Amino acid sequence: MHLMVVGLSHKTAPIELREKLFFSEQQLPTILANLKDSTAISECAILSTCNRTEVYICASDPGADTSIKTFLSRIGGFSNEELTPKLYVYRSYKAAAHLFRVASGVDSMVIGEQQILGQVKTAYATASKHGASGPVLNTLFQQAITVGKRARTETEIARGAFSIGSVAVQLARSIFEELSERTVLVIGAGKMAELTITHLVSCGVKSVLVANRTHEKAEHLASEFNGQAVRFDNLLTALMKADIIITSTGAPEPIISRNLVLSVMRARRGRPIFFIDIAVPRDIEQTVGLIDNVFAYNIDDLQKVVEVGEVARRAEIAKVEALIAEQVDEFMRWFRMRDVVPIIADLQKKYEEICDGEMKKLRRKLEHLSEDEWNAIVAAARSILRKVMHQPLTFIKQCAESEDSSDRLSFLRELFGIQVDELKADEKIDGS
Amino acid sequence: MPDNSLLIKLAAVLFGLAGVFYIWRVFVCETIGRLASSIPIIGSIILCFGVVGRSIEMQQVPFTNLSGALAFMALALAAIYLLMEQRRRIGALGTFVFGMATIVLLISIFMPQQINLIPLPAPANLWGMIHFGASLLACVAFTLAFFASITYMLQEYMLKRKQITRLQRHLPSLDMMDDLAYRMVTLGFLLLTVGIIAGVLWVQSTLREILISKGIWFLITWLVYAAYLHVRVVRGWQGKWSNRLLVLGFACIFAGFVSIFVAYLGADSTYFNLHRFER
Repeated sequence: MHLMVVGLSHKTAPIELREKLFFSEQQLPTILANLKDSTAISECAILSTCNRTEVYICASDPGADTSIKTFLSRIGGFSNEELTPKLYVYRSYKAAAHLFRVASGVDSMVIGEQQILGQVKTAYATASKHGASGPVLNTLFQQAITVGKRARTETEIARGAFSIGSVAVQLARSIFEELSERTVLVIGAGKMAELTITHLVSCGVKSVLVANRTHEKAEHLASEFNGQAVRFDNLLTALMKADIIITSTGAPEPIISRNLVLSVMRARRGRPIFFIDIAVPRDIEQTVGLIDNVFAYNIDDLQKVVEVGEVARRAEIAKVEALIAEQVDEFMRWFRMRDVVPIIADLQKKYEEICDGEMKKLRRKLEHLSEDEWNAIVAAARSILRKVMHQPLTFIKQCAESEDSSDRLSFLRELFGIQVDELKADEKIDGS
Repeated sequence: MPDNSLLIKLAAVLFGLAGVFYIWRVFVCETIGRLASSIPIIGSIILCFGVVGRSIEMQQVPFTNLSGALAFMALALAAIYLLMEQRRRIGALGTFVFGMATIVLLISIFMPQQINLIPLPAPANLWGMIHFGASLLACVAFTLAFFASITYMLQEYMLKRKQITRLQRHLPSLDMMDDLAYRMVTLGFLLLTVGIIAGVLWVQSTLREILISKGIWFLITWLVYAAYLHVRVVRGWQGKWSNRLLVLGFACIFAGFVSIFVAYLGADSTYFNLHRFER
């Protein structure tokens, strides 16, 4: 079995390219099914976020990465030559280490960010739910999730690591306890606003209102979040309902004035309100933030929060890497032993059967021997068998520790004349 | 039979440790050993044994004397807090609660034991018992409301100043603190009302002179919290004004306690007569 990952990330490919290979949660089951049908792989899982798309596979063919590359090019509508330079391929140890690094947030744009761990969990859940992953990838992903959690609790890698969206969520949580009971109003239907609502919705916000100058755009965005589009003329009513307001219009002048907010606060009877202004130039007047129970953050404020602690977190990478190395070793031991265990079992079974068969024949010839004498012969035969098998078995176990184990193991299978059903099945697929 | 005052001393040490552990969790490391996180619970259980044991020993309700009343309050403070902590994300509040509980216990330990609040034998003073029990628990509830309001103001300050630090992330949400303060004040207000009525019924028989001074404080306290409930329930205002009233209310309680101390310690001539006290 070969474990490998083929993928691209913010480190290797620009956003335009990544966008085309971004698969939403709804698309993933079909993609996974297609992938399994069209290539000779036994297990696969796809991790797709706005910063990376990675295909994790487990296949008997060491060259399976080529078919994955072709598959990705076809889906993204690229030529093979166009996409291949942007893709990375890691195998066995490095593949496992890569996923652990991703889950720990070491490979993320904002080091140590929390969201990626959730995305790894979702990727795993989707793959296992639709039967795409099997024992190897399930174990790999479970361990990756464990490593991700350990990295965040045992080191300081995640200390203050936030994307703009997660900062917004975190601040909202510092003000409101239950986000599920809150209403978000989005003014202006830009990409950034959409990203921020995605965060809030994934953290429990249920009620979304969208206001935009062009009402169709508002309706479109609202439908994505099961929300409600609001006419721009009704903005004041919407403001009075909303607890969290995200503004991202292209308006040259602030659209939310101090007086407007004062009247809104009177209507809200002073309950706290949270403004997130991600528009440049600003949509919210500077003085709005001075009103009691009004918390107003603009993009610079959020950016500052994001940047704080970046240096400190970088210093933690070494600790996380040590943790990852430890966990990868453990995984690889399991992974290789997984290949070896059936060989050992088969070998033992085969030779014991031979031995037992011969002993039966011999017993018929030596019927005059007493029970004690016969037992001594059986014991001697077993002992010879054990001693003869000791060296091959040790060698097989050693094979498991080496990098190119699967070549050696298939050689060993041939040498000892043992075939495994799984292998035969894979060969059939290859042949067809 | 364990020594009850030793149990109370041990509880004070554990509460102190618990306070440190809450600070540790905010500033140093979030994950803390299971043993460490059960320190406040163990401390409360030990204190419970100490307080109950002592009252059995003296055959009196735990708050018959001033020292016992303080230990009783520390226990109630810790117990109510720990119960709330099971259901809500209020971790950072524990710093204040166990800091306060430790101080109260220390005062209880180092003050003279023989200052009685209720003239013996107590069972005859049913109103007195209800008065002290309800008022002391009311003070505990108000204290928790006060801590919630301090936490609220701290969180509000950091959010307004955009100081998104580790401390800020560990403070509970504004809504949670507001809700907690409101519930605690409602509870405390009911208890204090009962306490004051019971006190009035009780005073008709004894101790009239001493109560006049501190009774005023508790009436003012009652009015302040009535104002808070009005602002919070009728006007719906959360934040600045309700918090100011909570701080004011706590200041009244504090003043009330100072007046109790002065009154009882003053009345107890042994306290100022050092020769007799030493003996």
